[in-house]
This record gives sequence, C-alpha cells and structure tokens, in this order.
Amino acid sequence: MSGRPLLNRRLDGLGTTIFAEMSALATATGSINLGQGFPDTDGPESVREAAVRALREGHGNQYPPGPGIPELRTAISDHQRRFYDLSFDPETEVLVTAGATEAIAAAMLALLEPGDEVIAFEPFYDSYAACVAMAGAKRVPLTLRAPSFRPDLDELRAKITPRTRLLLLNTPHNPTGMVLTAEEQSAIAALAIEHDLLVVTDEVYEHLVFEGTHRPIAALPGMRERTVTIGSAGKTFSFTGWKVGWVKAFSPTYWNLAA
Amino acid sequence: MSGRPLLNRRLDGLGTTIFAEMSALATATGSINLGQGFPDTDGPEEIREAAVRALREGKGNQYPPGPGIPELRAAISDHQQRFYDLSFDPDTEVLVTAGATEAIAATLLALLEPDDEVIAFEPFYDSYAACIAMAGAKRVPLTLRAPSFRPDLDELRAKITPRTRLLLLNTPHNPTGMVLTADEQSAIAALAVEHDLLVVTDEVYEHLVFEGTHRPIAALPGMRERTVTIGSAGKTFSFTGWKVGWVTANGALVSAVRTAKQYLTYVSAGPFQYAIAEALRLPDSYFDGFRADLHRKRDLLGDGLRAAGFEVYLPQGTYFITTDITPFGEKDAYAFCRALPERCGVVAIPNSVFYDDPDVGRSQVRFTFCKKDDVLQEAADRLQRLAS
Repeated sequence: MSGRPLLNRRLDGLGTTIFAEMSALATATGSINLGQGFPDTDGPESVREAAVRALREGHGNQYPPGPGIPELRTAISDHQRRFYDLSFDPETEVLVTAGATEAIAAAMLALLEPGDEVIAFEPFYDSYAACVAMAGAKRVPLTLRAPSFRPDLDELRAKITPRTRLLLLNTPHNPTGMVLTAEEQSAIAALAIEHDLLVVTDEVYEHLVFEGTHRPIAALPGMRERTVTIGSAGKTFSFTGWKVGWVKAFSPTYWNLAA
Repeated sequence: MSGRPLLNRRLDGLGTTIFAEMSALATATGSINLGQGFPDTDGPEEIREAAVRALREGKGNQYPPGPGIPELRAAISDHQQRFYDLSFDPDTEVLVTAGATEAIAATLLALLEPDDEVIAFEPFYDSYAACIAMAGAKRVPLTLRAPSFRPDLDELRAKITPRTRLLLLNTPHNPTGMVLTADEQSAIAALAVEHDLLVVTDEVYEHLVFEGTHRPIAALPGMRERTVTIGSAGKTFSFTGWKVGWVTANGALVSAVRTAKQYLTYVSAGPFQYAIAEALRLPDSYFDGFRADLHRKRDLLGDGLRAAGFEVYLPQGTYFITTDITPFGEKDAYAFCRALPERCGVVAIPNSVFYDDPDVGRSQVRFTFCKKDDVLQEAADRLQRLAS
C-alpha cells in the first residue's frame, strides 16, 4: 500500500496505550506490575460458580438480547435503588455493555456531532480522548491540579462555549482518586442545566470511596434527563476480564445509545 | 433536553435493528424464530468445559492482553495455516476482538477518513452501514441480484472513483448465501491492486460452505498487504454468546485496527479466549461434521420452504436461505414478515431492509436453518398453511 497513512487522522498519535508499553516492560524485566489496574486476586467464588452454572445450563452461550439479559438489567436497576435511591426502568433505561470502555465509546459515538466540544477532566483515562476523536468532536481539558486535584469551577464555566455539547465526568477520578463533593456536583449540575448540556459520568469506582461518599450526579434535580451514568462490574467484583458494564439514563437517551 | 436530536445525524435512521423487532415479535407470539442467526444447540461440550476450567483456574478472569491471549493468537495463526496455507505472525498479525462486529467497527473506524467511499455488497449486514456512517464515510452499494446473487464485476469497476478507499467483502455472504468463486476473487483482487484499495473481508461463515470452496481473498497475489480478514468463533463453534472474533492482516493494518479496537472495548471474553484457543485445534472431523450437519439442515428447510410455495434460492454457504414471496401473490417482504407470526407462527427477516433501495429486495425473505431438525420440520409444516 502506498500513499496516505493507514490509520486515519482522528486516531493519529493514539496508537499504543501506555498500559501496553509498561506491561510489556514489566514482563520483560520481571518487575512487580503496579501499572495497570487489575486485581491479582479473582472475585468471589460464588460469583465465579454462577458463571460456571450459566455455561453448563446453556444460559448466555448464544446471543443474549441486545440490551442485556432481563435478569441483569433488573439487578442493575435494583442496585441503583438500593445504594442511591435512584429509579431506572430495567426495560427502557438500562443497557448492558462490553465493559465501561464500550459504554463510553457508544455514548460518544451516539451523542456527538463532528465539531462538538466535550469538556473532560485532565488527567484523563486514555479512551476518553480516543472516543471523542472518533466521533470527530473536540476535547476541551479541565485540568485537575496537585495536591488536591479539585476541579476549578470558574475555569469550567469559562470553558463552556456555544459549541459545548457534553461534560464528561469521572468520579471517583482515575488517576488522581479525586471524589467530587456534593457542592462541586451541584455547581456542575447548575452549569449543565443553564447551558443545556449532556453529562456523561464514568462512575466505575463507585464502591471504592474511602473518604467522603459517592453520589451519582444523576440524582440531582434536573440531571436525570440529561445524564448518562456508566457503571461496571469489573472493578467492584474483581472480574475485570469478563467485561460487563452498563449504562443508566433517561429512556430516550437509552434508546439512542442502543442504536 | 431541548433542541437538537440526541442521536447524531450519522446514525439517524439506524435506531432499531430488524432483528430486535422480529425477535420481540417472536417472543410476543410464541412463534418459531427463524429470524436471527443463532443456533438452538450449544457447541461442543469439551469446549464449554474448557471455559469452565479457565474460569476455575483463574485464566482470563482479569484483563487479558490487549491483542488477545497468546494461546488464542497462536491458534488463530495455526488455523489459517492449516486450512488455507496462509502464514500470520501471532504476535503482530493477529488481533482478538469482541466478535466480528467489533472487528468490523474497529477496522472501519481505523481505516476510513470522513468522505471516503466504501464499496460493499448489497444486501448488507446492518452493522456495515452503521460503522461506515460512524466513520463519516460513504457506502456505495454493489447490488447482488436474484436468482444467482453473483456480483457484477463491470459494475464494480464502474463504481470505483478516486474517493474509493476500501472494498468491504463478505463471503460466504449473509443473507444471500453467495460464495465468491476463484475467478470473481481474482477479478476483485486485480481491481483492488490496480486502484490501490484496501480490502476488508468478513469471512465468519468460512466453515459453512456447501457448494464450492472457501478461500480467503488474502491468499491471492498482492492481496496480503492490503487485506483485513475477519473471522469469528461464534458461527463455527456455536457459541455466539461468547463473542470471540479476530482479525488477521499484515502488521501495519493490524496495528491500525488495534488502535481503534483498544478504545471500543479494550479487551473482552477473558475465559472464553482460552476455550476458543482449544476449539480452533479440534480435529478435521469436527469441522467436516459441522458442515455436513448444516448442509443437511439447509436441504431440510429448503425442501420445506419449496413445498410451502416459496421460491427458494438455495445458498452455497452460511446458515440462511433467501426466498421470494411472489408465488404467494405478495410483494412486500416487510409486511409479510410482520404478519407471518400471526398467520402461521414463524418469524423470518425481510431482506428488503438490507438494501439501500428496498425495491430491489422488496419480495425477499430470509430464514435461518441453524436450528434443531424437529424445529425446522415444525416450521416447514406451519408454513404449509400459507398456501391454503
């Protein structure tokens, strides 16, 4: 093949993740790998044995329904009610995905038009940049600075333009561990409502908060209708290799993501 | 939320797949579902037990390596060598994906620039249109016409423009069952080389060819360097729910596809990757037996459909039969398929939704035969009512 590069311009420079590079280095040098975030101990045996039963009883060995099996959608809905008193219809407001990574990709590829601006915390999980790029949109960083890594809400306000379509949040935040406070969430929610923005919030570490408490931003007034909340089983149950994630959102958004 | 639609313009009109609609109809009416292509019998017990072992031994319960576990990549490489005498380096020329669907999405999202043109067979598998649209590119259909569904190679040549970047092939072809001949492949390859085009070829039904033989187009001279070949375990081993697929291509192409893939799902199917690594090494008797079994089912359903009054286009490959409903005095496949569950308790898929110009496939209906014999027989019996 001659001529232009094989990889398109949007993905230029996103070739190899730092995780692949450092994990290869760990293997090559026999080092202790504290790089990539996956446990070295599997999750509960009872959960693993539930997977064995499903395999042997022929549950899920063929295509499950597109939005996920009803049992899991109900369990996700019940989980939200149990921990956050949030109500999502398992039929229309819950979508099962191939991990949080696919949930983020689908949300960006569904909700963004080329030229849209997306404000996202920096430092950022690498797939955010790639998915915003694949959608042809522009990522606008809101930098979290040491030592506290709190978001500067005046700076956030200043970065909102008429082209801003979406705020991409992540709390608890990877890599800094910052957890948004109730006040910060309220201020962010007020800005989202004022400017009629969509909010996509990656909350896969929801059960790993050691100081403060986790509360989904979707629970704030006026936010449910504009928020896509992303969750995942991998981190909470220590089975990262199974790649089970989900999206909860107001149903019209859900149906569009399902496309 | 006020203002503009939530779903972007590129995906407008792609909201619900026909499979979701028809499967819901099957459930609501208690019909036999010959719509979506998944088997009603799981694959080999020894492969299922390999997945159980992986789960219990803690293999794949945490993130597998991004390109797939080495055991599976080696097995894919050996499979290409064993069946096609094609050599791919498992470390740099093989990429494991979350089924063929992710392979197609990642390949198109990696290789296309906005406004590139992609020539693809029509009728087309619905994800092709969506992935080309997500990449901002333009799909140019090459229509396969009944009864033979052969591609018109003069038409293909005429459709190539300076904006054409990629040919998206599918052989054996879903839904028509067409299998490209060696001559057709050579002609397509010559055009790709002449115009310096990339070729992406979906070959997930490679082990379900009943007439003729499957040969990857990547095996032709000048093609290896420009071809991305997509395969899948789901169809070959009857574990469609495990979603294990793969890409084989030269290192530069795999590297590009991996870039997009790592951000779509990152990785997937941890324990199943170990099981499929074993499946790919099953003896020839498995592959031969599987093909013979589906060949028999094809003839069983084909006879039943013909007896019921359909015009039947017997497929050379895949597990689908395309039919025409004109003999019933009907012309609208979509209306026919929506009414079919009420009329006789069977669900099928209208091919018309797989065409840009629905008129071309207006009267075509697709049935799958990857079901138990008694289910196929019962469906055939029920369809007899159409004549009365």
